[in-house]
Amino acid sequence: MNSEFKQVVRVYKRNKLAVVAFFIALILMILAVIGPYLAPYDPVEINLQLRFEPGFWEGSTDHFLGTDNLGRDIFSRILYGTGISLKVGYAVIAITAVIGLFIGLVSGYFGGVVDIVIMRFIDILLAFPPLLLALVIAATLGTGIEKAMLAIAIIYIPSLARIVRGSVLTVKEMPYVEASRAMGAGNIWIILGHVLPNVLTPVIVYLTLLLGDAILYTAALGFLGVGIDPTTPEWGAMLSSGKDFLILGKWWITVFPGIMIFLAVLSFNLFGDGLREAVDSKLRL
Amino acid sequence: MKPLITVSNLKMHYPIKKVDSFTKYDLLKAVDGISFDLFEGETLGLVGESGCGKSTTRKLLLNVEPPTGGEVFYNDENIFTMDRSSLKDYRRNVQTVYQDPYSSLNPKWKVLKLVSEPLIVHKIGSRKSREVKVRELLSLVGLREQYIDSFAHEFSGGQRQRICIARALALDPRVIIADEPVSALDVSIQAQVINLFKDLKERLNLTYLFISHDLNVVKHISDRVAVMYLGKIVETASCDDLFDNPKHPYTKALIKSIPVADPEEKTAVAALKGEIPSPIDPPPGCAFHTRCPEAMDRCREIIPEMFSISGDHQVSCHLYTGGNKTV
Repeated sequence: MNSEFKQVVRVYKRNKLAVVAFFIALILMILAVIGPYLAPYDPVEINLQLRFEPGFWEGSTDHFLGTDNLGRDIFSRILYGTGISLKVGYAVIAITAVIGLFIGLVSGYFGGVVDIVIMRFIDILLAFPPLLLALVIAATLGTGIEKAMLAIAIIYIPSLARIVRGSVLTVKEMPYVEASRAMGAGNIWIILGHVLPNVLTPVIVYLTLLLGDAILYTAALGFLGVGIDPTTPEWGAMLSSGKDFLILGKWWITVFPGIMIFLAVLSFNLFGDGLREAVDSKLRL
Repeated sequence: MKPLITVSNLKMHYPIKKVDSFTKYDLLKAVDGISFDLFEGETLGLVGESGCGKSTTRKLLLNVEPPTGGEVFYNDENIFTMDRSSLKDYRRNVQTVYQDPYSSLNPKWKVLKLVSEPLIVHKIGSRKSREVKVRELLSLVGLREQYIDSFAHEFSGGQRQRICIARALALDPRVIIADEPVSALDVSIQAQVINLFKDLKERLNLTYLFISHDLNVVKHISDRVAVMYLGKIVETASCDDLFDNPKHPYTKALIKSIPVADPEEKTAVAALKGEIPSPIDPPPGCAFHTRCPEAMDRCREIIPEMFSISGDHQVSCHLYTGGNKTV
């Protein structure tokens, strides 16, 4: 197991971009933990006399990245927001992965009536526009960041379950699955040993693309008044609240949270990409 | 002698949805009432064209799909109705090797796990003892023990097939069902793998059901041969008897179609004309009458019974019913 891990690390290291991405992701995670302690100001403290203060590019030292329309320090908000945004992003990915994989595996592997019932239900979920669906679910569940996460996860679960089911249908017809069944293996052994490892590749690709979406959807929900409180220093919420002031030339309110989302998404995608390559036995030599 | 496995009137009819109807189903008669015995220590070759039901027969014998009719007896018990412990015993004793060595090995597993899977599934031995067993098996099938830590894709087709054979042998089975085990390999590798099969049979006292469409391979390895056509067995005989003295017109045509390594020799009769009919709507009477050069009126109406010509030579053809017609 140890040598297995070393091998994965060795292949991963070959991909320089992925290594950089790994460190960016690591820094972001560290920031998520210690960010609040580094922040010079209270992230929600409003100071209307200091609205739209520019930052370091105009020589300001008080507010490094400037202040927003309510005079809140953007640098502090970004630091506080790291924890919240990453928590939302990763939690949505985790919930989606677990439930989506489970539904897809059960539906694809067992087939029959189970499959028909699950897939028709998923068709119903897919028929709604995603934001509307999340809005309805979040409004039903009530406010709170955890509920927003769940609502957002629910809009991704159907597509993931579909992807998984499709791959399962292919894998379960493979001769090695029949061989396994013929030698007397049970369903659990076949699902966990044969099917799951062989359907993971498209799942990883799908999940790595989800982080950015999840952060932005959280903001959208907050903006619509469900889920997250819009004053919360969350990157997506900052981005959407600042967009109205772009036209006034107050670009920094939007750009800095945007850069953070960009870094988080890109580093996560490249990390996932590198990881997929490293664990894919076929690319290993 | 008592057969190890007896197949009795085995049927597999798959329902196929009709294109123009929501409720009506057609039946695809993949296997339509076959019977044969598999004796301890023999190699029974099962030959036939693509789509004649060879692989469906494999699936049924492995009990991974329930048949629509018929029985398979092992130790006087029907494998489709036997209790769990008997079925476990059956699964332990009947193993398979598949046609495509690329898709019959899980690409995410290393050789150690691939070969020891049957042992893990049957909860045999400890981690350590399983590894010892895998090393033994690898050397038995002619692979180096160092390969234990490699993935399947690092091997050539022939080597992969050896891994599959090692996996099949892990539980010390009595029977191996080999479904076209060499047809995906190069000819030079085919010979090696066939010789490995023969060698293992002698050393481990195995019984083979050797499914193939390649008559040369079947001739080389089999003791007895059963010829399948459109879901039915049309002729069974000992290997020599079948090749020297084929009775069924289909068998004759098959044997004539074997290429001869002599450019001077002209094949006297062209091989069979036409395609194998659809098993969804097989011809009435003898299924072969549409392509048979000797078809008679009753062939189109009456399904011929299996008829014993001499000893273990059986044929289902109207030319021989009555037993007095000679060719």
